[in-house]
Amino acid sequence: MSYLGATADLLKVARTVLRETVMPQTSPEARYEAAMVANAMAIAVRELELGPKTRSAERALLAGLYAAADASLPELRARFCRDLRAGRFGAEREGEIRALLLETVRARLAISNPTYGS
Amino acid sequence: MALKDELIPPLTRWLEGALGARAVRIERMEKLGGGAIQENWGLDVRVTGGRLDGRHALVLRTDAPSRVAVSWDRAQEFRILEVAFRAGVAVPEPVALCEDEAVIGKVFYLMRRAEGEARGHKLVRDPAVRAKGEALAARLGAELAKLHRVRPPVPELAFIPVPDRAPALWRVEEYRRHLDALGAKEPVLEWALTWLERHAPQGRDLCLVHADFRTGNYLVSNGELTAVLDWEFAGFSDPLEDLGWMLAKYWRFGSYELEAGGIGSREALFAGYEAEAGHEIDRAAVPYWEVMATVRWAVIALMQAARHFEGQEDSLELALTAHVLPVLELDLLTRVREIEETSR
Repeated sequence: MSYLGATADLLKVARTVLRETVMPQTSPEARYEAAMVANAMAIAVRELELGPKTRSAERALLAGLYAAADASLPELRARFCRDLRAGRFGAEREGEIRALLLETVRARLAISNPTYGS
Repeated sequence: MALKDELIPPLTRWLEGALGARAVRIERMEKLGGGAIQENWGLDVRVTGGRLDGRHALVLRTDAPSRVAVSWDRAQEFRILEVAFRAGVAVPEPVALCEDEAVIGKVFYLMRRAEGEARGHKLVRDPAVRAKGEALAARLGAELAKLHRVRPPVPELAFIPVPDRAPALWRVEEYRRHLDALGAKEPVLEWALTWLERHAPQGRDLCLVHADFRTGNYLVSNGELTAVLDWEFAGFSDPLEDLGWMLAKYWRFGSYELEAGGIGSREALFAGYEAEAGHEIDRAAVPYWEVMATVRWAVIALMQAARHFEGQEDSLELALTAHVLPVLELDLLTRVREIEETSR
């Protein structure tokens, strides 16, 4: 077996060293930046673990909305954005649209900032 | 770290001319924090003769290597600062503007240095701020009321466009333009912009607005306001735009229960504003502008992230700004629902 693809694990252990060994010895001026580095690494780990699943779930939601099973996520997002801007969904579909938006936002938060709003 | 040493002599000579001084000596120089967009240098100067005779702590402000297209340049910001200073707003006194790039290689201006802390995450946890937060919020409201007395047209600010229709609709169009220029496909922002378009107040009550008036952009010393900073986004708009920005959830730095920038109550901000303005704020009209503020910050965050990801400027801070977006999207969905539940 090969460990070369274990990128999330590599990042996790690197982040642990940064936080537990490097940061306590970092000057106060650099600590804020070190914390940003640690945050960026945590986002990268979550993106590696959740990103593909998150995007395929969003694609499935939008494909369901448009009954367009084969469309790609960029195509669907572009179409959804055009329709939202044009106000093409009537008041009767507003609840459905908001539920869909909320679901995709929650999934994006799970990567960008999992403690927010929970 | 200092400006390159070889820049000190030309800067000194220029200062002597600008201040009408017999002699100027730069005694100390240090780079100041803050500002993802511009550079600030603290300057202690000794001036002999002229309009600023004596010793002064100044700030020299220049453009950083790249900037957001929606922000004014340093020369324009200096004009805005002059207008705000004359209107009696607590701003650092503008001292001199140098538009000759030959002096230090870029346009810069000087203002008096105000003391205090600006960083939001520090301020919301500062014991003095926690003790005097209501008074601070009221004072911030009063400063906004002073600024909002400035009405277009203002000859010195002819470079600032005046909305030719309801400012809310004007903003909606502006933000859509920015999203299109970025090629951004962001459904929640499109949804929020459509909501803002449908609920736009039709009035055209225009005044000078700061447009980035929030915790993080003013200085506080011992719990008291010393100066309002960062005028590079100022514009002519609805006065409630500044109040909405100050009340937007994001700028509370985690101190969510204090709706005015994490330092005081919404009512204290309004009361301070009303006491200075002499008229009441339409409270029901403010939450609309909180939604507008959240969209605005999301659009600016996308533009800042683009500066990194499109290769204009390598910056971890700018790159991380992209991850602010989901937070703002949740805020948008939540705030619109709250507004609708209240009005029902």
